[in-house]
Amino acid sequence: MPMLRIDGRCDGQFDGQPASVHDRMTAMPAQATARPSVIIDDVSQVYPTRNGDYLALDRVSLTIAQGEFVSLLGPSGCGKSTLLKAVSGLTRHTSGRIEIGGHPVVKPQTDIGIVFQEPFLLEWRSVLRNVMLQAEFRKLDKAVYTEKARDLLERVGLGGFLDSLPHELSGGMRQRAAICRAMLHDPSLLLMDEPFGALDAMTRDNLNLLLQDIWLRSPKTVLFVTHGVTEAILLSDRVVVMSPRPGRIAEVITIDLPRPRTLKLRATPEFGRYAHQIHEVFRSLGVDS
Amino acid sequence: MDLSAKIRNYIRFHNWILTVIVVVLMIAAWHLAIVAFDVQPFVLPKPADVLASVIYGAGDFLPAALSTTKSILGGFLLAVGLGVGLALVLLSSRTLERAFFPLLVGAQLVPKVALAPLLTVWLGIGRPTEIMVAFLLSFFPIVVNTMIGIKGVELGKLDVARSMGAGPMGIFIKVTLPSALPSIFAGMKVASTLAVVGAIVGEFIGARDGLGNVLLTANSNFDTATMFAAILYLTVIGMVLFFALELIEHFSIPWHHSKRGLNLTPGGA
Ligand SMILES: Nc1ncnc2c1ncn2[C@@H]1O[C@H](COP(=O)(O)OP(=O)(O)O)[C@@H](O)[C@H]1O
Ligand SMILES: [Mg+2]
Repeated sequence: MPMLRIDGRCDGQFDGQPASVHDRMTAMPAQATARPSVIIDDVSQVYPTRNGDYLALDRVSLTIAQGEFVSLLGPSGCGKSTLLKAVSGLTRHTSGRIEIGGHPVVKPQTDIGIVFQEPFLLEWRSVLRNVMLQAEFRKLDKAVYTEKARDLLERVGLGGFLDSLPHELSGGMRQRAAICRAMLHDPSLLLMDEPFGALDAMTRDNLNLLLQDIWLRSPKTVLFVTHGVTEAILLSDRVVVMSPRPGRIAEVITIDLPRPRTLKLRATPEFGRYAHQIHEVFRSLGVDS
Repeated sequence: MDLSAKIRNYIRFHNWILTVIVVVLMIAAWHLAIVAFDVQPFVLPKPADVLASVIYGAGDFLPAALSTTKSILGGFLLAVGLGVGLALVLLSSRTLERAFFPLLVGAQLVPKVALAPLLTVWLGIGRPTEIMVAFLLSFFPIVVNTMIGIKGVELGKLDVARSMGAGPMGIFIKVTLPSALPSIFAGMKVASTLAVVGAIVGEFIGARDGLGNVLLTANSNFDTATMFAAILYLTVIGMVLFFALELIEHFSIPWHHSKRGLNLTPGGA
């Protein structure tokens, strides 16, 4: 399949310095000097299929600053997971360059935390021991990290469930445990693939606020995949809108809303304008959203 | 609540009571049928005669049962060890798996019992042949279920572990093997019932001890009560093995939540 280049990249829009987050408690993030955390440069992903090669990502470029919260937003099948997996090093992209913290990604990255739509907890381990899996594989000090794990779980409201097995928890609680597991070693980059996609609206709202709270307290770069427009605006410094077939970046929208953001913010005209802007992008792409 | 309602309620939560009632009724019907139609004892003995044979023949049955149990356990344990081992070897490489898995499936279609006479040529009559038939019958369900269990681990779990810097060995021990255990146990439970069949078949082709031998001798004497008693002993051995596995499973994978109550669907042969 020829790599048609219609207008997949919008380098100018996002290759420059993104909004800084060092001042994120203020209404307007200052323009910025933050170092890049993730560099995605001209990355393509081709999947071989029965009907020939399928171009899942077409020369995507994106730079994410340290401490920045960036959402990948788009309809199902536009390559969001593919891009996130490529950044994680769990899959190998076909061409292009990905760097994290200045180092090229050529194998599964271990200095990151990763959360998927499903919690992928080990059913035979208690909540605490699931979180401690992170420390075990990294051969981190058991006593120190057990304390850390307890603190984290306490913070997300699971303090009373340390010894519960995953099947004894609700979906939202399981996902909170998965987030704690991803954060135990204090990674500088958090990759989240529709972490709240399988949850009901109310639980999702709660976890959105919890995630913002966690992120505001400890400086982390977050790459957050979602197909929820509201969720993306609520959480992000920038929303990267993707379009399908082939997967491309259609638009990058900087969200200048004060933090901490509350659920009430969703009813404000500013929020509505961002939502409208994103829906317009989808409409121009002929995508239902 | 009046008494009959209480009893009904008790039964609703204790299904085994119904089972016991059914068994008692069946034994009663058996007895009555013999009396009513004047059935000859060598065609069908009375339940009481079978019971008498079980009790008074214990001196003969117990050593035979011990011998049969040794063959069953020998074949079964060999199958567990080699079956799980082979599954791991095959899964260690895509090429090995692709080359050998079809062979394995094909081998399942060979009627293993038909191999028994051939085995006596190589192994002689007695224990080795008995163990080998029990092994052959119980081997495949263990290999196949182990492979299914290991391949069935959720890929997301492996991804999570890899992002923690886990190596292949660590992932296998902490993630893959535990999640394969329910399937491995399912295979072992099927295999346990097949191992019993295998040991008996091994004994049928000429062994001088074991319950299979007792069965054949009783058969040539038209001693139907003893045959029934021998079958009862065999059934109990099979049940003990099966429930021992249930018990081990219960304690080693208490988290496995398809396990609500006992799974009473062993495979037959
Ligand atoms: N391993 C794969 N092999 C073939 N095609 C794939 C594979 N993974 C994803 N795809 C295809 O690539 C496209 C993008 O997938 P994905 O990144 O999962 O999208 P999203 O996460 O945005 O829903 C989809 O059309 C999907 O069918
Ligand atoms: Mg996806």
